[in-house]
Amino acid sequence: MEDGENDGKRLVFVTVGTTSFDALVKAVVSQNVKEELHKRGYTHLLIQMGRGIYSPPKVCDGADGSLAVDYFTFSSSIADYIRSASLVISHAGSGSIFETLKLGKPLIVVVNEDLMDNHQCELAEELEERKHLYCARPHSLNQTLTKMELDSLVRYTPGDGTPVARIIDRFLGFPDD
Amino acid sequence: MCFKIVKDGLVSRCSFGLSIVSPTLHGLLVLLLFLVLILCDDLETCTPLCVIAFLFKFKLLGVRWSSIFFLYVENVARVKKLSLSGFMHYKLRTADQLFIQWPQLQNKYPRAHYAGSLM
Repeated sequence: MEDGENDGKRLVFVTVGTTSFDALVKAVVSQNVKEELHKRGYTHLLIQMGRGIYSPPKVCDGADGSLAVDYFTFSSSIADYIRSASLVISHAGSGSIFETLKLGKPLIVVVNEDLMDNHQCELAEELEERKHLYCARPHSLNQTLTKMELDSLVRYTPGDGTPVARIIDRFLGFPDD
Repeated sequence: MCFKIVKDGLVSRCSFGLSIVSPTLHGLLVLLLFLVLILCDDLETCTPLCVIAFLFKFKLLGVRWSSIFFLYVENVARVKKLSLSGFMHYKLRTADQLFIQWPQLQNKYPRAHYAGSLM
């Protein structure tokens, strides 16, 4: 999965969507995780922190042996950020997951353990079984990063609404074309 | 003091109940006589509309008020079991067709239609 950057910049984009997910933001800027990302050749870390309260410390480019860290709260569209990233770490929202998979980027989904109704992890676990992404918890993000092999991920084929449309047409009595 | 519009903008006094029911029914009648299909997913806001549409499908006072169809598409994040809305529509048979996006649900809910993922 090519990242298309030719100036040596390899970006890790972290997104929490419209939720508040401080545990993920804190995990991503923790020393272990930043070191692991740096070991794997990533240079920049950009965090979309949504409604979270915790703001990570910004780190400018240039310090040796460490990741440049930046963050923002919301953006009208994160597609451009995903396109320019080499790795995406996302919360378990189906919108974020499928947007990243459709753009063909390597994805690690982190499930929020503080949520009451956690049916979202069903989707992440199912897609992990099908080898489309890696699934982790905030406290186990470091282990996932150590063990992951991004080349073994399978590209996701986007779904198609045509079979459903055909069933609906038939149900309403329209003739099959 | 409650009012309702009687005709040509003339307003007359009426009871509270009638002032709520009358414009709602008028609006609904116009809506349902022209509406043929409701295609809906897992949102709380859809449920009142769907319940009303379901009630109007049948003959009330000897008249079939509308031939409205109601199709429900389950959320793609529902892999192992249906959402509360989906389960309600499946069990009560209020939806004419219920679409699921993962094949695992087909065994548990045989009357649901699996036609692939929409995402």
